[in-house]
Amino acid sequence: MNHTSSHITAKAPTLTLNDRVAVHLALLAVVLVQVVLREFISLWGVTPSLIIAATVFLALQLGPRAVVACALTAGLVFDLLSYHILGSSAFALCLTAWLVGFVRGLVFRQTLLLYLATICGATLVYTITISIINWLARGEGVMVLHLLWQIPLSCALNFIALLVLIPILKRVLKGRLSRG
Amino acid sequence: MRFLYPGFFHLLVALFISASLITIDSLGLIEARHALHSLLTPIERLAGALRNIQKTQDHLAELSADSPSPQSSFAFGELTRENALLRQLLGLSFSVPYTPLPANVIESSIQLGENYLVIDKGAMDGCAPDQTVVCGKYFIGRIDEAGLNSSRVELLGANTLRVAVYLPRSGFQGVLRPRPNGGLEIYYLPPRAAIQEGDLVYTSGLGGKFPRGLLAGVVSRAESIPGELFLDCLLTPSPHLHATTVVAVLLPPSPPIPPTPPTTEEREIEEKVLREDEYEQPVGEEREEITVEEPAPPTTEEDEIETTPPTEQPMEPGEEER
Repeated sequence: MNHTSSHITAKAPTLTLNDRVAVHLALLAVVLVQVVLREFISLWGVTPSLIIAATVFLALQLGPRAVVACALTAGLVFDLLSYHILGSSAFALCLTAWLVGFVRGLVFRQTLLLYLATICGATLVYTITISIINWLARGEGVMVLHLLWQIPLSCALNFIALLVLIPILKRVLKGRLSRG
Repeated sequence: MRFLYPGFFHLLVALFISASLITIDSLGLIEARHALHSLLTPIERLAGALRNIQKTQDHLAELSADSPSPQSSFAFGELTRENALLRQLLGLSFSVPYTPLPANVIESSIQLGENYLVIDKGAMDGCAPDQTVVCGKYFIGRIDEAGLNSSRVELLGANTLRVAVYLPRSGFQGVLRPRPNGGLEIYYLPPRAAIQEGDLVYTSGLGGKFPRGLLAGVVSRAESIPGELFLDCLLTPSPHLHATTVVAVLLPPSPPIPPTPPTTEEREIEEKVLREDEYEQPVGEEREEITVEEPAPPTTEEDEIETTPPTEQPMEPGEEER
């Protein structure tokens, strides 16, 4: 996988307004695809999150500053479309994006292993944050036994989603990811 | 200072906005959410259309295969089931003083903590939060959020849904709630309650949220555990809970329309009519009903009398002319 093995510049790329709009639109498109296709791509009741995968990829490419705003927009739209508590996905996605962007500054090279570790960490952070928000806002209990087998499966599915999304996003955002 | 890592300020702002929205939404203060959601309804419809395309393809594949009888085909089975549900719904409308509003399911989720359906009827059709949703004769949940054109239905088994129920065979009442490890249980039943497997469970109507007499499910296990305060009673809900495509929202009976005060023009016309009545009929005189009797058709003798001109008789002197 050549596209997953590239150097990371320590400085995040400088994005113009057009670039930011393009990144926003790309992430919103991923949200729409997720909403429309989620029933078709679920496995044993667990749906891979294309949104987490795309956010992780963009955060690793663009750094936290640019992606947090996109994550907020995408999360709010996803909340509206999915009847979640408004702001819950946005909160969890922003936190995940920033943490992944933080990791970006600590590594020197993007490898498959880095993507795997990052997507697992992001899935864990996202799921735990959403569960806490649901518990606080709606009093919904967390079924730990379910989470124990759902999180590993989610990590695996999200990693596959990430591998599918990387070439698509690279093609869509051609030239915008490499500006620095 | 790692806290000054690039994007930390952005993160704080984003988290603040999200947390504010979470707080406002959990307090139920966002009315604009419905309007925003209605803007995104076409996307939901698109997802539903894609789902229908896949179902249709499945049906076609099933039909094209060599099946021993038409009854065994998936399409026929689903139509039969839908027909039965609608028939039950028709029967329901006679026993419950609510108006059932049929709705199609456009999205369903039985994931952890997200036990809900999305239907294609919303506030424009009369749906409102806390209205009862049934599937055939079974109670399946309540409307959690009502958008303009679609609504979210919280199903039995959702962590926040509690339903007061009763068991008519034994006469006991309890509260239906989800178990922590999955499934539904009837709580607050005494340990020596004479409850058997297979007993029907109906909504009791206590609390005023849901109507009384809707079938909630069947008792699947009833055991008295030593040392426990209450009976361990499990319930099996509607078999179509997560596989249905048609449900119905029970709309409450509309309140009687209060009489509107007459306008000035109407009042003037009314006074005018009253004045005309007073002119024609003196005050204090009771109005008599006027019945117009049709005259009987004249007989032949009468005809003859009428046709012959009356002979003039000379008036005798002293007889006054009438």
